[in-house]
Amino acid sequence: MNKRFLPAALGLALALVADGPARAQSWTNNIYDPGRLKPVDSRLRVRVGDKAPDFTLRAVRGGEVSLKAFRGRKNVVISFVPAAWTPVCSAQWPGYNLAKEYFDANDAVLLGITVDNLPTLHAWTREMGPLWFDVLSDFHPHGRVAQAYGVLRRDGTSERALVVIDKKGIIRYVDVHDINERPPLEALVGELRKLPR
Amino acid sequence: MNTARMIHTLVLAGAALWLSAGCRAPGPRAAARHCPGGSCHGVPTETAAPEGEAVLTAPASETERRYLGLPAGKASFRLADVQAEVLVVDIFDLYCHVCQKTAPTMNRLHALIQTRAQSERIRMIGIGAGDTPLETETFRKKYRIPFPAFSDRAKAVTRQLGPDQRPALVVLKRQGDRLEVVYAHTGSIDDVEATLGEILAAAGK
Repeated sequence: MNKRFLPAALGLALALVADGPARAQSWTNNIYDPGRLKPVDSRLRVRVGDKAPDFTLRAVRGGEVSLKAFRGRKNVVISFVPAAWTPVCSAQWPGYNLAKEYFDANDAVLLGITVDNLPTLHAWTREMGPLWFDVLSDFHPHGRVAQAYGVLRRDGTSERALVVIDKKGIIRYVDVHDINERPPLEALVGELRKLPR
Repeated sequence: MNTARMIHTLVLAGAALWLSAGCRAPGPRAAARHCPGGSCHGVPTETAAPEGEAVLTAPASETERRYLGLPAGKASFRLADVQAEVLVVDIFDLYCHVCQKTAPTMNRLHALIQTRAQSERIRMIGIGAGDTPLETETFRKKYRIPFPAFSDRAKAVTRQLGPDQRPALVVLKRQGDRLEVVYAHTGSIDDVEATLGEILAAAGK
């Protein structure tokens, strides 16, 4: 980079970090807002009673996570959310981050999945504070796991969907929710409580 | 300096700034298009209470009911029913990570208010905007919130208090049989003592 532009670049950086709230307001207005979306834009490929499609995905914390590793050990809840950096007010994961006791009480783990790549998920989830659950990237091949479950939308994001899987690897509950809304915690906790120990 | 690295740093700095500002609904123009009723959470507006009838579920706890001066036996109440000269409202949302970071500060504000609660008739409550009862209770338990907290799933009460943004601190002052908003702050709070001073000044205390 040409050194002449360095002061300007540093000035720009300073301008961006100064005057926080006003600048944050400006950034808020610049975050991509997709508008009100079609509630569901996919065709579900699984149902209650099916064996949950297995997968192995890269985790934000490093390494990989496979669904079959939980068989015989833990119930699993998969939370598909549409995409990182969409309006944060619709993000479910900060709420689930406070709900660990409901998962522990029912011997369940939570896996958060989006179609974003790892660096994007890393930056987004770091802002939520330390998460107790694994976040997995379904980026490459793009949305392959979302596609296997039938929750990949035509624009390449995933649905806002919850899948509850028991220790035998069988699907016990699926909620492909209106993408514009937030599924109530009561529904998820109710399904967790129905799971056999 | 490597250009790509600089751009990467600027993007992360900007994103960090945006997230520190709290959870916002899009601006008015976008709200009309994206969030009917200004609700980013897509709460079905057909269940929202009509104007003037926004109520919260009355507290089950006798202690909380007495703290707010609410009569026994009534299932719901309006904010104006709270027997207070000044009502401080902490608007939060379980799913809002800035609200989570702000919760301990709100607890400290309550502790400061408590020293004046009896003499000045100041009361404090929390409202889980867009939260179900379980969501509100999960937030309350996690942060050991010492003041009564109420679910406002349809945001009927929240909407009466001001902009659709969390976290928010709204202060109301009694004017006869009504309460009027005299102070509102959105986003996190840096200085609790200063904020208390502002609240008391706005309420004429």
